[in-house]
Amino acid sequence: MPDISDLVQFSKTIRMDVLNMCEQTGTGHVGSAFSVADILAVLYSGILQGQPIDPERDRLLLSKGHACAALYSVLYRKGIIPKNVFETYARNGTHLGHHPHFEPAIGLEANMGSLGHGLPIAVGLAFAAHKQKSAARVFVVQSDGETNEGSVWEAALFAAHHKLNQICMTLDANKMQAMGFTKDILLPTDHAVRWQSFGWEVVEVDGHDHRALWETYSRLGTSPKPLAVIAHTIKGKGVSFMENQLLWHYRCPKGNEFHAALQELSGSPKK
Amino acid sequence: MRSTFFQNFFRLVDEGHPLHLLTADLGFGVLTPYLDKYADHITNVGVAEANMIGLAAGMAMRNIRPFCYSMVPFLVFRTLDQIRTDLCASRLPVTLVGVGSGLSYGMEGMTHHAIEDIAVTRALPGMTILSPGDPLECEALLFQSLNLQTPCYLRLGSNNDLRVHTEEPPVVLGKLSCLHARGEVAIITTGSLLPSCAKAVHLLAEAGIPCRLYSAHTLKPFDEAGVIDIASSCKAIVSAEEHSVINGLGTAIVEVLLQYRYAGRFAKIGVPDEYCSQLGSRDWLRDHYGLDAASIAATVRNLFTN
Repeated sequence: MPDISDLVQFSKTIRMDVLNMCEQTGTGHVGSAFSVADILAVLYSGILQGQPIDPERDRLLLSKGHACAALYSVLYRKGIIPKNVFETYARNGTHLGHHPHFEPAIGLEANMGSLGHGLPIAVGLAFAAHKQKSAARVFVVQSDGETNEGSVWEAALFAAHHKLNQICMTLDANKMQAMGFTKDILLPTDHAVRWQSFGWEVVEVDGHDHRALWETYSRLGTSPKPLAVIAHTIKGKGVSFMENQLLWHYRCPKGNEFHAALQELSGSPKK
Repeated sequence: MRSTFFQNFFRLVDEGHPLHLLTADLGFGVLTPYLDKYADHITNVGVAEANMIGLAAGMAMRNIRPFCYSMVPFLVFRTLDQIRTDLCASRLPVTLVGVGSGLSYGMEGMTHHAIEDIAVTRALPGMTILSPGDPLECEALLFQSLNLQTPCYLRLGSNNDLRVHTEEPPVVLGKLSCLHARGEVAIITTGSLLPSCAKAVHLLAEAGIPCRLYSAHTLKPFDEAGVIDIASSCKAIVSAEEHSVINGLGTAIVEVLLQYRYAGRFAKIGVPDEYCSQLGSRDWLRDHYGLDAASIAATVRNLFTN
């Protein structure tokens, strides 16, 4: 396990990258990227094995593709996206738009942006790996609003039926979606109960607790069932005036907002 | 056509191709004889077509070649977002095998009719569309499609499709197949309307009008050179398809003829822009819409002689 302080520092770097990317281009989903930052920081600090060109690599699909600024930052900081490519984010002619575009060589494993696609593809990868007797694992990160999509549950049933324990689904449960709080939009349910009822091994975790995330991901494969990690997160995590504010699903920080956010992020990490 | 497809699919499995059949809970009877022997190459994903496409994308990323099997409407329309995003935009070699093209399942109602599938899939970048007109075309196209490294849509009619082709000339993916080469008028057709068109050509011959017959079994990429070749030597061309008149074979031909500045006559035979308000068997619906052999022959005769 890496030093926790290194993971905390990595998360801080990701959030500052995201803030800069969004401020410079006037685009991006800051709140969603902040919510998933710690999950990605942990996954890319030793959980995921193998390089992008390795056919037997572990793969990560960011099904909540709108949070991709955080993923681009991680892939850049890990040397997978080259600097000159990273710097083109959201600029005309770029490969790095507001949702990941299929380019495995730079760690973008599928086209993401239409919700409810990541889990079926991940399950297909895991099913194929299982058939090929490969140990390669698949990690997929979904948003809680995304589970409104029926395809999520089609895939969930398939993975459980075929006992695909090479797959780990993280639910970035920040309790908000595009138009409001998830509980106000469709019947509020207990995510853990729901995934359990679909035949998954379920672990609930604080999605901003690096140690807890690391320990949870390390459990993958110890149960015969696929693993659902219900990561309770805060939208906009890390900047007080962005936290739990729907506005920051869309808004890009400008002027004083940007400086205030940067100052908060560069200080002691909030817990 | 389904039987032909499955026989040859499992022949390819026997030859060692890394194929995998995903079915969305369809194929009872026709697939049953293969279930035990090929258990490692068949998965019933349940009545869950959207997941089937995503699943296939994931499998293709690990170099298994999935074939997704269902009825056309559920396979193509319900899953269009998955097809465009997960397959076409990633250019993954997944084959969609749709049964019940056109009005094959006539009495089942509009939910089971498939008259807009060419229109929709033609617009998908990177998609190959194969629409065999008889079992020999189905077999040849299936084998040749394994050379593609991109998504493919194989649209099949129901069973009992008649053999029209002889062994020569061989069917070539991407090229129009010529079944009758003489005459100054030509029918170009696709899919399971081929036997009706062959019969229409026979009726025309009896009436003293020699008519050429071509099967456009590959709708995308479309054989533009083949159409231009026909246009350069025919006074009249008729397209015939068990599909909407909008954006199907007829439209593909018109696009070529306009660029070529074709001066001859052209008529498009197909299903009008409507969902069937009256139901019936496939043959009854073909009569109803003028897709039967006699009606096709009449359309050709009127176009050519008036």
